[in-house]
Amino acid sequence: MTAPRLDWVAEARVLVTEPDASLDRIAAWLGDGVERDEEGLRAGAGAVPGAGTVRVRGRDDGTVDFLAAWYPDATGPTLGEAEAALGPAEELPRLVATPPQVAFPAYRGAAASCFIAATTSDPATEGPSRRLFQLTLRRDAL
Amino acid sequence: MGIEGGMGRALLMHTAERLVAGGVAAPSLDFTSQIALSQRKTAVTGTAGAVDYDTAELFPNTTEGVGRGAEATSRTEYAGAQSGHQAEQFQKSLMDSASGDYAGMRADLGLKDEALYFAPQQIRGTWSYLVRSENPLTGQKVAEQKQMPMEVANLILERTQALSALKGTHTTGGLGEAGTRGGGVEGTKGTVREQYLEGKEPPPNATHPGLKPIDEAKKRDAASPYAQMPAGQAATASVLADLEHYLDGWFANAHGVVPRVSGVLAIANREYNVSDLVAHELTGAKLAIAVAKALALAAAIRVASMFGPIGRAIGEAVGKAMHYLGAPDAAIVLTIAGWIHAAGEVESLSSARAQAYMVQHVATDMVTLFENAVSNTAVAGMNVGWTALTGGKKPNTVGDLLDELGPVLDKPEAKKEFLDTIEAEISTREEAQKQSGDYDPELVPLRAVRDALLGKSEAESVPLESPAAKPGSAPGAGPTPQGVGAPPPAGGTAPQASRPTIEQVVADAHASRSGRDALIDRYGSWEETIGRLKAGTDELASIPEPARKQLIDGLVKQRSDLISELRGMYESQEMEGASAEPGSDVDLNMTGPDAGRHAAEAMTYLDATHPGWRARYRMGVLVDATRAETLSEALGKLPEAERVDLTRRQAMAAEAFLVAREARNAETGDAREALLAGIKDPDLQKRARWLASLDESAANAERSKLLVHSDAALKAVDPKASAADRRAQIGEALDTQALANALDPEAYVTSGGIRSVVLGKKVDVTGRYEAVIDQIDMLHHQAHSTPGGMRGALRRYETFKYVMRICDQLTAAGVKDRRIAFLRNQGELVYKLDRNAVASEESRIVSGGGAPGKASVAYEGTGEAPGVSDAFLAETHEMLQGLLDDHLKTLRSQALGPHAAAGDAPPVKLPELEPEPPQPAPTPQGGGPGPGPGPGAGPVPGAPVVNPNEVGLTDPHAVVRVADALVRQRPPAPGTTLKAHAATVLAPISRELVALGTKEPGIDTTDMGDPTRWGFFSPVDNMIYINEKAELPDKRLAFDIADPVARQRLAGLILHEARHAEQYFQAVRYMAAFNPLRAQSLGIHPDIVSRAMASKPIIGTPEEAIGRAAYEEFFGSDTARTVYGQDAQRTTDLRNRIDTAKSIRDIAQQDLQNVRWWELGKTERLQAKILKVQQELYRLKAELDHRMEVYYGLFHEQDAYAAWRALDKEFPQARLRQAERQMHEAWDMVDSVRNILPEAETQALNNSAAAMRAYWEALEEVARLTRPGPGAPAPAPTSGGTKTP
Repeated sequence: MTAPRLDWVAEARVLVTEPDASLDRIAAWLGDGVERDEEGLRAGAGAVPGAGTVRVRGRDDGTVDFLAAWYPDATGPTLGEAEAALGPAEELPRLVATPPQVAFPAYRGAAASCFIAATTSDPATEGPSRRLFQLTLRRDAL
Repeated sequence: MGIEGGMGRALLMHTAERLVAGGVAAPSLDFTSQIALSQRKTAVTGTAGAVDYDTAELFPNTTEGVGRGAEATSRTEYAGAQSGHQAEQFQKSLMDSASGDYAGMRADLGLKDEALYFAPQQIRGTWSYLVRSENPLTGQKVAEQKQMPMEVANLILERTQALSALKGTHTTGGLGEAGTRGGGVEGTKGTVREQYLEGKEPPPNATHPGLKPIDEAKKRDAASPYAQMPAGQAATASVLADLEHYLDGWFANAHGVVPRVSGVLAIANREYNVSDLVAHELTGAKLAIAVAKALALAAAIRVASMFGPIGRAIGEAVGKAMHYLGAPDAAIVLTIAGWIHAAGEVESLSSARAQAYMVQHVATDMVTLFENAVSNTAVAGMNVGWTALTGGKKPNTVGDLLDELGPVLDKPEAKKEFLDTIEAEISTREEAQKQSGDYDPELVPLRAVRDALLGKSEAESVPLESPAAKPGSAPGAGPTPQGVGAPPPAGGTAPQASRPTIEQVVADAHASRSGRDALIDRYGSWEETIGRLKAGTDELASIPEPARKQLIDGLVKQRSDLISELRGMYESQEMEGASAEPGSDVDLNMTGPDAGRHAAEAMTYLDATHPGWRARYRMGVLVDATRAETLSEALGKLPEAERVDLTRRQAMAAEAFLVAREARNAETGDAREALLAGIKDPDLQKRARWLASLDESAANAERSKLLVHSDAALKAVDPKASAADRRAQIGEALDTQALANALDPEAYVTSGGIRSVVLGKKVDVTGRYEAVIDQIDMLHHQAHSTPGGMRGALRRYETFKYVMRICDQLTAAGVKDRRIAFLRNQGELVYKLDRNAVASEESRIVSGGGAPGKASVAYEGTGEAPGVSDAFLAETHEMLQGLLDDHLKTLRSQALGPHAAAGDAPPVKLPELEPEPPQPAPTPQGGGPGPGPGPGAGPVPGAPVVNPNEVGLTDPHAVVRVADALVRQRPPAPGTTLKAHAATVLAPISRELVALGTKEPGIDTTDMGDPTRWGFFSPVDNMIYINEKAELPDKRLAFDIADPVARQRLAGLILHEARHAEQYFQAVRYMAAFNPLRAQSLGIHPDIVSRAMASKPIIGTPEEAIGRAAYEEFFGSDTARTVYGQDAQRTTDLRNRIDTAKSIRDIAQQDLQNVRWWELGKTERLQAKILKVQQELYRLKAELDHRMEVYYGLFHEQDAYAAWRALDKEFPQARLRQAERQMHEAWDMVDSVRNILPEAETQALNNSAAAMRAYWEALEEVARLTRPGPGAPAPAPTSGGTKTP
């Protein structure tokens, strides 16, 4: 099952986790209109298919910390769509006053250093129709 | 007679005592003969049911009868019969004495030594008799009349009768058995039953068993030293011995000089009938002051001798100055001082009688001295000079000495005397030097003193210590005597007086009072000395602990003896609640109608006898605080308008006096002027300026006058006078007391301070304000009297006493502020539980538990407690400053009403913290038992100094640091992005998180697609995300940073989200304690996890509770709440309602300020009612504000359940119901007056009441929204039901 709003995740995962991952390469991948600041990169709508803002944060050593994409105005993929593309989701333990987050551990793949998680809308609408409004690809040290 | 002659006489007093003691007429049995002739008659009358006993002591005359009347008649008759005869004998004795060797008050009659002489006027009060003895100093024989109090005479009579009864037998008039008939009761051998009913024949030596007590008494009598004497002599001797023993004990145990001197003078007056004037000076203040003056002068002269020839010149100058100031000749004073000194040390009756004998010779001079000492204020002014010589700092240079002697040398005659003496000394020495050729080093300072007196200022820097003569200087070839200003002899510097070793000081302190004083002076103050003795560090490390403890006990005893001495002199009491801690202060409270005068006299006495007593003994002498209550009661009986106005005016005056007291301590003239300029009322400013201008001597004199006047002013309050008169009288009394107190650095000045803090009375808002500013002024005193100023004072527990009291008074005034809770707890901890809590940066061992009945705070366990850093204390000061900045102005406005302009800043301000002293080298910061910044990491750059007992971002210290940093941030420049501003806001918060040990979160802004979602913390990214499109209900941007309110909103959100970052960190730390692998698999950002895993175990740290609570939210019993809590619509509504309520609060605040209460109160018949309305509305406002504050704290809670839980804890239903009643009462009150007020004034009151109701309703709505709806889970304790994942 393909999900256009998530198609980019596979490419992004490689860029984030490859050994020589760099902000420059990700910037090039994001295309025109990407902005650089002290913290990393910022791109507006359109840089990633289906997503609004994209944020890439670098670490002090110049490597990548994470890439986060935001889906505005309730346009994000549903949890069901995300599970279809990224594998089963797991609820992450959280404090009651923070929004729900899920992880997709199966999608770490061989690299195993990319942790993919999403922030979802309120669980009052729990179930597959629950919608993601942010997706994070985090590069964890091996 | 010169001073040295006086000194000689003074020094001889002890020697003379020993001589005299053996010669003063010893107690004798002269009274016996009179006893022998006296009779005691007892009559029993009345009925069996009502028996009357009458007794009479009768002289040997013909008086019959019994009872008091018969006794009086007997005395009168006896006196009449004897006086003629004795007058004749007296005349004869005078003639005899002229030719014989007897002299004295009453000559021996030549008949018997025991011959009695009764003067008719004396016989009724005493029994008199003559004794003969020798003058111990001259050998001349004298006969002296003695008078015995009737109480003693009766005692002797009773003993005589008892002994007589014991020695004789008691016949039965022929009744009884054979033994009884022959030998009286004492000869009885058995009982009737034994002899006649039982037929027993008692043995020959048998006695009746009932005689056993008599036999034992006889045995005791036979063993006594008086066994061989007739009954009358034995009784007299035993009573005399008992009295002597009692008086020996009294003198041995009397505390201090004054009681002993009083005792000696009492004997002198009894035995030698010294002047009635002296008798009147026996007790109380005049004697005390005279003793003090005399001893001070004597000490001065003794100290002066240390300075060799200069000292002698000073002594002469002092004597001369005294003469011109109206005091008695110094030599006389010295003689008296010598006597006082000796009399003050007597420890037995015989010594006392010897001193009493000698007092005859100084009695007249003493009366003169008393009169001068009490009445001559000029003499009191000389205290300064005396203090310099007796107890003040030791002058080092000529200039120092002349400065100290200013009060003496200001008198031209004294100055001339001084110069003449110096000149004479110089001449003598120059001549001697010329003759011998030996260099005289004394000439240098002598000449310098002379030249300085003649106006050559350069001479003032010459050391008083003479430069040593150069060894080996050949006669005639030595260096030329140095002139003034010439450099000291080559190769030699003035020898410094060597500082005694600590061992010597300790030995002296064990030995004498002066040694103990020297020990205190070595360390500068009482508390410093006690502290050092307790610590046993530095030079005291060589002194064993038991010896140090003994010294502490000795110091405490010395101080308590002094207190006892004063208590023996005046009606007074030690302040209740005085701490048993040796280092703490002690206050003596003068009571009674003359408390003011007594306080003045006691302080004058202490100034003279114990210069520097306040600091040296950490003592205060105060006037009974209950006077304030008396005045308050009188005030309460004035018409309401008069009472309110006078109270407010008095508060204004007291405020000005407090400012004056601060101004007296100001370091510079500019600083003083700035303080005084803060007093807006011109009259009060003028009075304050005068107060601030007084030097120490003038202030002391003025205070004494005011204290004495305060007695009269209080007595002058006439409850029957007209209201206007009473107002004036009460105002005068209040004013006088406040002024006097203002001149005492230790005393509260305001009525409110005294009544609420000292007496624990409930006071109105004016009183609360007064109490707060009194406490602030006490903080000034702390800062002024502590080395290191306010920074040093923050290390003292007393400072926190005042901080705690400020908090208490603000709370009582209705102020609601979270900082109060922290500061009060901190104050209570330091003041009541652990007085060393802030004393040092070094850690110390504490014991668990609290101080039962004293403090509501306690240590949880025993162990090492970290010290407190300077930075922590500075933050505490900042917090207090912020608290006062935010509330004191409003409180003052409420307290003073129309007397204070709304815009006026309170003139009494918290002492500023001095600039931080430069550090010799940077030192690592942070640390403590909390988590470190990471494995192997060094100090965290830029991290705040975090007290190890803090619990993170919610700790009041951290809140203050963050809030302070945020307040200091400048508004964002135009064009600043929301993200940039958010990063700026986050920076101080991040510093706190870094100090905790975690990795600070990033922050970013983004469009979250949902305008009702404002932001959140993502543990996956370790990011705080802000919704740049977040909206308010009216569709305005929630975070428009051009709007200050929006910036505040944003800061609140960021702080709230940062707390989640902290919670995640602590949750991982907590979990790492038992399931580290699980802790790493929560999806939390590795930066957080790695820092948490590398930190110290959380168990047992202050942060444990945070970690556990977060963990339980992850996996525990609170998981189920999530569904309810995430009801987005409810949380949005809640947030909006809180925002609305805040706006309404601001309107209510404004409306309340618009009410012109003083205008409303102009209608006299409504005054009481208007006041009540005002109180009710302000009380309601305070309650609502508190609720608002709590609600606003929940502003960013996205979880309605959490909000409800917090609210329920903060506002139990009972409190809400009470507040509701309060609201209705206030509303009814407004209703009751609104229709009878002038229309112009009604509108503001109506508006205010309406705004208050809207405020109430808005808060009710917020409360309603937080309540769980149907089906929502009930709240449960968060600590239960932990599951292991």
